[in-house]
Parts: sequence; C-alpha cells; structure tokens
Amino acid sequence: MTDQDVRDFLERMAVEEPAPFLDPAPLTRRARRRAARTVVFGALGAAAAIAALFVGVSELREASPTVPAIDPTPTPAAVASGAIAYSLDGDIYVADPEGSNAVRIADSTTDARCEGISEYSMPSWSPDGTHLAFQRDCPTSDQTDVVITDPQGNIVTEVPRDGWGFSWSPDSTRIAVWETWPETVDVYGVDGEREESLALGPDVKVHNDASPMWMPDGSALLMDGVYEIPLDGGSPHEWGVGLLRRLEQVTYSADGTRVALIKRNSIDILDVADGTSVSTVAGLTDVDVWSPDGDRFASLAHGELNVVDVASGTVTVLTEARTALNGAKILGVRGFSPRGDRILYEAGDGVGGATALWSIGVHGSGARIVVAGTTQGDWRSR
Amino acid sequence: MVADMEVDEGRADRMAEIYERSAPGGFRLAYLLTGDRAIAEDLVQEAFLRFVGRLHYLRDPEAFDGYIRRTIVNLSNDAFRRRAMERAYLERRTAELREDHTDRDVAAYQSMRAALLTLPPRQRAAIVLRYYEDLHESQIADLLRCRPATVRSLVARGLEALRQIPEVTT
Repeated sequence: MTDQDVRDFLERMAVEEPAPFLDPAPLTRRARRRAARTVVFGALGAAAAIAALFVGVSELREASPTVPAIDPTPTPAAVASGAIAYSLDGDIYVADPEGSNAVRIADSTTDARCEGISEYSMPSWSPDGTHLAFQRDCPTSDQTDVVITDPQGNIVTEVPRDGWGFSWSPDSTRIAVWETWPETVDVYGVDGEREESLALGPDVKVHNDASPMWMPDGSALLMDGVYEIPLDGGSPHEWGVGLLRRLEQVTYSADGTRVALIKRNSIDILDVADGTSVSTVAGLTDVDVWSPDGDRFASLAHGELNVVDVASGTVTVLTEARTALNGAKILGVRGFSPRGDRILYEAGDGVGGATALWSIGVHGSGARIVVAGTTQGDWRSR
Repeated sequence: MVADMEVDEGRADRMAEIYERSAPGGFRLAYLLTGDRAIAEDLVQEAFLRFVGRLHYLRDPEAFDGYIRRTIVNLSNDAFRRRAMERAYLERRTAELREDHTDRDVAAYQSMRAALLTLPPRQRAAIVLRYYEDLHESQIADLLRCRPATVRSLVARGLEALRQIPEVTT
C-alpha cells in the first residue's frame, strides 16, 4: 500500500458523506443560549450571595443552584477538603465539593502569549491537595505545557510535554509526562526541574494513547497498564508474562493495598502484601476509579455505573446514576470523594452536546448535578 | 462580565460568515476522524461555539483555520479518550462494517475504513492530517501537541496497522 493509496482512500471516505448545509443560525442561537446561561447563573449567584447574608451559608449551600455562579475575577478560594477543580470554556475553576461558590483561578483569555485563545483543561489535584496541574493548549504556537499552580491559581511552574496526559506521583512531589511518545517519559519535580528521563527501550511496546501512571510506592512507572519501569534505571518488568498473558492491564488502588488484574471477561483482585486472591468479579472489564481506602472501585459497563465491593466481589448497579440524566449517557467516571461516600461521573448527550459532571452516593442514591457544561473535573482528595 | 459574554449582532454576522466559509472543511476533517456524520456535525458546531466568546481576542484572522482544525482534533481525541465510549462506538461500527462484500474493491475499502476507525485516536489523527490535510510533520506536531518524532511514530504505526488488512495486502 503506497502513500497515494492512503490519500485516495481518505479522499473517497471524505466524499462518502457530503458536508451538510451548516446553517449558522442555530449556531448563533446556541451561542446566545450559552451566553445567557452564564449570565443567568451569574445573576443567580449574586442573588444567592445576598441571601446568604440573611439565611446563613451552610443552609444556602444545600439549596444552591445546580450550576455554580461564576466569578470572573480570580480571588483566593477557600479550598476545602473535596473541593472540585474543573475546566469550563477553556478556564479553570475551583468550587466547593458539590459545585457551589465557584472561583475562576486560571483565566485563559488573559494568557498574553496566546492571543487570548488558549485553552486550559484536564485539571488534576496532587494527591495531597497542595497543588493543581492542568494542560495549556495554545493553537497559535507550539506551546505544550502542563501548568502547576497552588490552589489559588498562582503558577508554581510549567512543564513541557509531548501531548496526551500526565500523572502525579503518589507523594505529590513529581509529575510524569511523555517526552516523546512512545519512547521516553520525563519526570519533573514541582519545582520544574527534570529529575528523570526514562528511555523505555525496545522491549516496551506501548500501543495505547495512555498517560504514564505510577506504582503506589512511587518507585516505578506503570506504562500501558502492563510495563513497570523502575525510576532507578533497572530493567522493565512486564505483567502478563506466562500464565498471565491474557491480562489486559493491571491497576493499583490509591492506597497501594490492592491490585486488580483485568482480563477479557473478569477482574481478579489480589492483596498486594501477600499476593493472595481477594475476590473475582465476573462481567466487568474495567476499573475506572478506586475508593481512597481501596475497599471499592467504580466501573462503567453497558452504560451503567457499577460499584464493586472488593472484599466480596459484589457488584451494585447504580441505576439512578443513569436514570437521573433524563436520556443523556454516562460518559466516564472521575473519582471518589475523600470520604469515599460519593462518586463523581461525567454525563452528556453526545459529542459537543450538553455535558455535565454529576455525583451520586456509593449506595446508589442522591444523584445530583455538580457542574454543567463540562466533563473535566477532579475532587481534591484531602 | 455580561458585556463580555453577549453575542452582539456584529459579532454574530462575522461568526456566520466565518462559519459558512470554514464549516464544510471542518466537517470533512471531523468525519474522517470519527467516521460518524452526527458526531462530525456536533464536533464542528462545538468547535465554533468555543470560538464565539473569544472572537474579539484573535488578532490574526489567519490563525482561525488552525484554531478550528486544532479544536476539532482535540474534541475528537477528548471524545474517544473515554475508553468506554470508544469501545461501545467501535463495537457498533465494527458490526456495521462486518458485512460480506463480493466486490473486492468495496471489501478492501470497507476493511480499510474499519481499520482506520479502530486505530488509537492520535494515530488516526496523524494519518488523516498527514495524508488528507497534507500537513507537514511540524504542523501535525503542533496540532497534536507533540514532537515531530512522535508524529513519525504515530504515522508509521498507523500505516503498519492499515497494512495488516488482508484485502489490501493481497
């Protein structure tokens, strides 16, 4: 197959679906609605703030509007345990755990290096909650940064990366990024100093667009869910050799006490300390997020949000997580609350359609919207 | 803030003009990246919507096409990055495309189409940007937020996967 064959194929595929008449009128209406939504919720927020003077903040938070008020002026946020960081319209916000009292901590339109059209996205708290990292994307330059800030949005450092994601070390002191996919991973300290540059070598065949992950003790990276890459320069270890060849990937609980061996049709949970089997879960093929204590994990399967009790292997389908969406779909799972009693998940009715972050209790009740207009958010773990 | 967010008539007219000029090309790119007409239309609309509030910030109008192209690629990647969504989508598409074709040419085309849509998102984007948009490695690297060497790896691996198709290699 020649390069010309590929060109011919793509040309043929492109004309297979003629471009529709893309009427600008609906677009303009959607833009107006989006602007109006922001104004309305801004007004609601102002009214709520005035009301708070009379009825008390704690009472008000229970009945606050489902979409947070947006304060365009970056001001120090009172960052509580479980505070949510999220991206919306290219900016980064921090709010109370259920979305109220939002403060824009990073305004991309003021990024002078990018003509005001840069986009900030994928906010991620460090495990200890002292720092926040997010991606900065500038369409008019080759800037490819991960920005690390304090919880108030003050920039601590910026780290170059080769696209795709990044991940915090368990001790919150380092961040791992692709230097050159799929060959080299860099590890940076929060001071911006590059501490390691790990060449993966020919035996590590990374195929997916996955971000680098960390082993629980921070001594190695876990690539593609199957390759352990020691930071001390030791030889890579591949999970799945021999009898475990059927493994899709492995994933560790946040506290490092459990490891899930994900196979094609089931998940085996092992105790890390002694390697004994804890339970086997049939019918699920993914561990999306672990609870902080490693006693549960959440898994999205067949459009439903499932919670698995690790000790027994019991799967509970949280049907309310889906039914509360009025026809929209669950798109992904973001994380557990610090106490492990609620789950943050993404919902939407299609690419580019209405999206939102929702939360629900781990026992399947109390589904509620946290932030409208985005699927990118992260609960502070402490 | 209210003034910032309002879509005044002048801006709406300018937006409509830009939309009519650039949307068809954006749609074709989105369709190649997703293989789905409805998703492609959504992607294009969302890309333009993101631009509406920022129109007045853009000093260089020439940067617009690059902005829209990048936003479409990013939105596509974001959408497919959600593995569960991608898995469901691919299962559906693979089932649709797993039809018997007596016509050898049609069979090869359908197999290649299926193979393209099962590539990891960045490999697929690199192939489309290289061979359909005819962009240079450095331009693709800029769009995908990676290094030129990474683009070479993405294109090489994508082509390697496409070449595994029996109908194409025989």
